[in-house]
Amino acid sequence: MQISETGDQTDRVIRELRAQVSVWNPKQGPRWNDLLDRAEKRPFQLFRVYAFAGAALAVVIVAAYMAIAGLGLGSFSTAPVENHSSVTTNR
Amino acid sequence: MEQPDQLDPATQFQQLYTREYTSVFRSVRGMVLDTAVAEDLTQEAFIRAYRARNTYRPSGPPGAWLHRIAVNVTISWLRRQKLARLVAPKLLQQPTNTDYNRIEAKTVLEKALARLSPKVRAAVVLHYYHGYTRDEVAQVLGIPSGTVASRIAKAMVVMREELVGNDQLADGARLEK
Repeated sequence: MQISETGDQTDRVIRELRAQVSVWNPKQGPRWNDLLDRAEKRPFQLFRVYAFAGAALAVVIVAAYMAIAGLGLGSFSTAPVENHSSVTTNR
Repeated sequence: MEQPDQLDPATQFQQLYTREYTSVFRSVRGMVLDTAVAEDLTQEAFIRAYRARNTYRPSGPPGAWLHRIAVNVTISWLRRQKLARLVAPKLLQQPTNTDYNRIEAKTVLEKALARLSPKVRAAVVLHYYHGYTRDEVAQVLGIPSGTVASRIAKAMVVMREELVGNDQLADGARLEK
């Protein structure tokens, strides 16, 4: 009995679902010209933005390193070499 | 699923668009539960399909191919919405009249559908309304056929509960009167 009750309820759900979905209608409907206009435009490609941003960041980092190293600032500057030579000149 | 006649997307896209528009719209509407959004997403799906019309391979009916594109477009949109909600929580914003109307306009069945995930809603609409087989639904959604069967079965349990619960509430209200 329980099985047939569940079956009846399932049938009812399916009937109501079909009735409900069939009244879902678009307000505007197909817009062929709009589709053609939008399809011809180049799609926005996010990966291009990321690639450009990545390349720009790399250029900035390399340029900053070269500038700091060239000006001899901070830890990028060449360390002064102390003369530890033990060779002495005998006079 | 029975197809009346197969249209070739590469050469007969306009006919295919006119014929399948409402069908695809209904699947998308089932996923997002909003008519205006569904219409935008349906158009977006057809734009993508139009761009890819020359790469279509007839491994299944073109309707299933269109539904697959539409499901992917809708899932991407839902992900973006979820992310947008995380960034700007809607709880802090004042609800608009449209939000209230949208909630009130929902029928018992839409409330039942709202308890399911968008992918499961798509599976239910594709299977019970469009008449796609479980294998075809699996192809459209990109998940195994067994998963489709179990998700549809669980969805039916949830929807039955919702409808029966609503009947009991209505009976209770009638008795109180």
